[in-house]
Amino acid sequence: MSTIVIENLEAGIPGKKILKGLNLSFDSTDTIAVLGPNGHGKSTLLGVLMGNPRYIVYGGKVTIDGEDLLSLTPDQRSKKGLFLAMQTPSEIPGLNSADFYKAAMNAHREKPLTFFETYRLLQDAYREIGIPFEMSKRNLNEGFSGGEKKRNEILQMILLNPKFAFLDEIDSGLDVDALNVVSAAINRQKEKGTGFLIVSHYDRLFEMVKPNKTAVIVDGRVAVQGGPELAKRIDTQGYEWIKDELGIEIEKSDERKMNSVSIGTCAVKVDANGR
Amino acid sequence: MADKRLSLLDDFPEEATYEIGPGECFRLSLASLNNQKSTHIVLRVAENASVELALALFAEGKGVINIEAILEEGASFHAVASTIASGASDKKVYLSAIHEGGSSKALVESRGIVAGKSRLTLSGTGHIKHGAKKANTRQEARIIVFDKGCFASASPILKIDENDVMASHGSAEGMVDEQHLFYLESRGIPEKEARRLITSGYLLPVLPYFSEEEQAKLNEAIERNL
Repeated sequence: MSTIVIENLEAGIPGKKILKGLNLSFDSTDTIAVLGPNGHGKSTLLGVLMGNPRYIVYGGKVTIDGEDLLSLTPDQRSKKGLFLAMQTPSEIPGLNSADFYKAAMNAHREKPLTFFETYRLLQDAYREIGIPFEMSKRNLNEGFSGGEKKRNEILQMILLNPKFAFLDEIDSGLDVDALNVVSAAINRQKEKGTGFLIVSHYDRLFEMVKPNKTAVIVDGRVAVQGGPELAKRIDTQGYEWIKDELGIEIEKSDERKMNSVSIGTCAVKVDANGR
Repeated sequence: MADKRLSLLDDFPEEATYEIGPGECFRLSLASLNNQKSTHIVLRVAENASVELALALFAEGKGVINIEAILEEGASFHAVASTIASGASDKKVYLSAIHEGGSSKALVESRGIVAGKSRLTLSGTGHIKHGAKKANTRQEARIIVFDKGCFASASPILKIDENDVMASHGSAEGMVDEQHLFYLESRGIPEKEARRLITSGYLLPVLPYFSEEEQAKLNEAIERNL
């Protein structure tokens, strides 16, 4: 079992703190639903944990099994067992998907995979996420639909078998079938001992992957933590009660309930409740 | 498919003119692998003839590559160029299409990578002359800049002396996209390897214009010079 401890993390973009002293600890046995209003730091947290150069760390500490994480480069963090499924994966022209996956898998191994080992691993993973193996010949994410990109992120999670997987709105843009495939892959990965931080606005994904904990990020801090019942409560009551009960002011005007349906909508811009 | 082909590796003529007869197809593939030379080539492309030009300039060194295609009625010219200017290279690549005849077409796609203390210019003129009605010309040049001490200039030029034509150009110079690098690194690939994967992918479109045997040599040259 591995443990990540985040203490007083302050981070953001140049000139602006988004995370303002965030504390959170979790193990590779945990699956945490990370909730919170838009713009309060969920994606920033995942990006900072993986080392996205877009973000600056202003202060605080993050350790994995007691070892400092923030001084490591993104590739070193990956080798420590961290994985981030991006909200909007980059399209890389001219880079063949299969070549990229092979390079990524080999980066995690002492001895490079043989052609046949690579082939078998890729074929199995493609089958698992329900994408034709032919797609491996295409350039990385180039011309992929939103749903294909998301499945592709899960494919990489399967190939790299991380200790911790951070999923940033993995369910946005997925149709019902794709959501089932992705949830099944997450559940299998849980059984292999991977811990999860899952950012989503939709209860549907959480119903299928059953997080054991919930963390609500408001204004760059974990405002409230709890069990799965906390995610349920936010799904039905929204974030308003946090303000009333805990006295935490939610600045943004777009606070809202979680949406129960995610069919063909973009979680960032569309409010399925029509409000 | 080309009726005639000519492939020159490291051995460019200092000056040459190739005449392509009416309706003929010609493919000219030039590559510098170990040794960069200068060259000035004129392609005279007769009525309804077509030329495919592939340029793979990967050797470290200095050189001026100047290639002009003179296009008669209905002639077409497609150029694909990939250039690496690494170490202390100084390369100037001019690929021009001169539209003498109507309905002639040209597409010039230049890509380059400049690193170390090198200088790289990707330029060329799409020139539609008076009388070349319905001519269509496009000039593209893109350069990825690796290091701060480099000089890069992507500057395609259009000269239009006729109405009723189509002409466009596009150029871009920039660093390797930080988010692209992060994406690859976040999968465990070290920065250097990530850069190599991204940039060799960027240079690849030129490869299919060479034989398999030549492609192996080109790949080797990319590995060596990046």
